[in-house]
Amino acid sequence: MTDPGVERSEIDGLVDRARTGDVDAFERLVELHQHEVFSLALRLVGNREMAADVAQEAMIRAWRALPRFRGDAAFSTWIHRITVNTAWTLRTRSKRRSAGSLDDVGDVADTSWLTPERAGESAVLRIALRSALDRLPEVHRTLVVLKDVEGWTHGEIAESLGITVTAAKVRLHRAHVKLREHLREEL
Amino acid sequence: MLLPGHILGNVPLGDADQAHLERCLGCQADAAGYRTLRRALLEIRDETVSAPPWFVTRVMAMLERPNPSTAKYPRVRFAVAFLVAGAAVAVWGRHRLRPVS
Repeated sequence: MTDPGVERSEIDGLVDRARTGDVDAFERLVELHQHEVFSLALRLVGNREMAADVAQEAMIRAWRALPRFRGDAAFSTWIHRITVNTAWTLRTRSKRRSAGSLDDVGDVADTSWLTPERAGESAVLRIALRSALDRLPEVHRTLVVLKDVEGWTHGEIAESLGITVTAAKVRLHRAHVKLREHLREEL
Repeated sequence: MLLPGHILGNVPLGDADQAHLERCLGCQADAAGYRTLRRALLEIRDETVSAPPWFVTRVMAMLERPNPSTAKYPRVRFAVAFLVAGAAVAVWGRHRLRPVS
């Protein structure tokens, strides 16, 4: 999440300036949102290298799309949506390049982010969940990350992924069933 | 069908389903699995992984580059090179065709 010490009004002011082409204002927005965008990208794609590419591309797309940003949603919500779409695009592009691989199998869980401070039972659970998420098909992984981690509604997920709300609910249920089984195997 | 929604989505169970859950060991085992999943999801929900230290610098550097899909410079350069090449061929051809005195 964006630093809670940063007022919404400050962000709105930066967005207004960035919309007119103020690069310094946009740089400040990138600074404020880099970690949450990167975290979301990492959850969606499962490895740091691709997550960095996704997060970078999302920021660049946000810069180009800023003149069209109406401010209906919070800036962070808007850039999260761009990140999700970007992850989808880059992941699809990456799968096409590596045709012949097991497309629906995720990368080996990247645990390089784990620090000694996170050791302990909760860390074991987090590592197990990441491995379980990596084993999900991409669509299911995306659904779980958006609904259960990011807190999106079914409607928001459906709109972002271009599916119906019913399809989102059904696929999310299937994802939960698989994820529970994978998690049990990981623990 | 109901357990994931009940445990992960806080959807209340009906009386009959609740009574079944209290009797059925298989469903209780499934419910325990979903509770573990919920705990794991809560663990990562508030977790933020730091972006690489070079991230902001690289993003801003990429903003400075012209958008390849709209950049006119490469096309202009190609057009000029084509004209120069064409002119060179024309001059060379005229020289070759000049009668030898």
